[in-house]
Amino acid sequence: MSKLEFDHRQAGHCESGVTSNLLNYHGHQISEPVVFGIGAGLFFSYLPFLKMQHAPMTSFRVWPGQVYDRASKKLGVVSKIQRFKNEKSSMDALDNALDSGFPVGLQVGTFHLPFFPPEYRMHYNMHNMVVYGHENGHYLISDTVIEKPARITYEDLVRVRFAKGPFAPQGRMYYPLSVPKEIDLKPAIIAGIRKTSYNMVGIPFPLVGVNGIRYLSRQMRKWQQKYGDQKASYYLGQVLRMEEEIGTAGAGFRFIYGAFLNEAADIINQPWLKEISLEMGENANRWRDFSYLGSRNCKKRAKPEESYDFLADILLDCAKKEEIIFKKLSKIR
Amino acid sequence: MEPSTTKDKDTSMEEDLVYKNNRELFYSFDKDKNCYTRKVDYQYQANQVIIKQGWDVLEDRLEEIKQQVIRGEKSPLVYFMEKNQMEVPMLAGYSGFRKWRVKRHLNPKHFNKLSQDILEKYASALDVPVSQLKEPDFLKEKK
Repeated sequence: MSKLEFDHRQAGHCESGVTSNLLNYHGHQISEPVVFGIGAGLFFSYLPFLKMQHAPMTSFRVWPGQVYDRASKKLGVVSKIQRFKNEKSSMDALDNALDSGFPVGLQVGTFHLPFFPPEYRMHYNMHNMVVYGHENGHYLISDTVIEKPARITYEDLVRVRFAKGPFAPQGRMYYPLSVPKEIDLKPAIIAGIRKTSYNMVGIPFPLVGVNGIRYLSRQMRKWQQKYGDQKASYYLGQVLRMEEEIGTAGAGFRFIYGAFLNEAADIINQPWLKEISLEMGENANRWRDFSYLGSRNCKKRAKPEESYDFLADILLDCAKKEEIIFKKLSKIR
Repeated sequence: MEPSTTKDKDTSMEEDLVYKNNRELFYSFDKDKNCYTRKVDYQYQANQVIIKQGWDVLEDRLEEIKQQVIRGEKSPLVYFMEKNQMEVPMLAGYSGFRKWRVKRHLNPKHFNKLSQDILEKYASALDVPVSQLKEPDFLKEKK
């Protein structure tokens, strides 16, 4: 039985929120956007050959786990990261870590999380939350999406840690073992920005980064003709759900990334980043326009001029804006 | 940058919000003041529309499968699989059966011969009582 003094703070994005809260526990006040930026979380990919809930997969972020891995490495944090085959040993390892005084980050599937409201109940296996204690057969959970701390039984926790399907968490748990007393954010921030710039404008592959946004834009123009009204509208809805739903903090992480640039400008004393953060803000608002108009389209309330072509044009605009932003950012030293 | 709870145009649109179970943290960019803000609120109206669309599509598909089960074209297992938003590989994962066996059991001919043991495994994977899995309420009503 142990209960750690853990601050539950809500966050826009589960993994960077968890990372930020864990670092906070170990005495470092690093905000969620900064963790997200250092972890190089922003991305774009459109993978039509992978289907999620019967629609092509669109993603606005990097692979799950990368934000924690990258951010902790760049900040000089020594972590313990484990995956398990056996359910019992995974829970024993969790108990041990808690009893030694470490709050633990877990990757879980969301479908069987009892404290999630029904509309969140999807098979999404890349969710992250913190366990900060256990008492009377219940585990104490800080989930950055949920307003208040929650509890979960042993059986339910096993179930979500060993959720099945794509990106199965396999009981993955991670926590900082030792955190340096002094952390120099500057090199970490610069490395993070360079990595994200590379991901967005440096990869010569048509489905990722700004090329991916352009590709989606081209595909979207054909949807109505190719699949008919209903399916096209569902596909569009799926893009919007990935952009705006739970844990993106809005506009597919673009707001949170802008907030990062804004904060980074002061931390590393490079005022030009402020200006780019404003450009990022405008870009994020453009993405927001896209989701507003898109949802009108899904609701069949769109005016004729707000068709798929119109939406595709907004995407092109976003791609152009992001290309300019990240080309400038890639020159950071 | 403290989260504020002021209402803006997002939350005061013409219709009521559908989902009011949990408030999340959102970031946004204020164009006039050139600054980033955070606030804790429900999902904004436009986004609730597309979330609802996702669930509506699911419900329609479920209704269609229900009819197929009633007509005897598919086994009740298909219905509960869809209700749990699962597909064959995922159900195979949760139940512990091989994919080809799960696929076989989607056919009523094979499903009706299943032993209690196998049904129990499916029932616990799908969070449904065995009796329901064998003969769902909507089948009884039809008789």
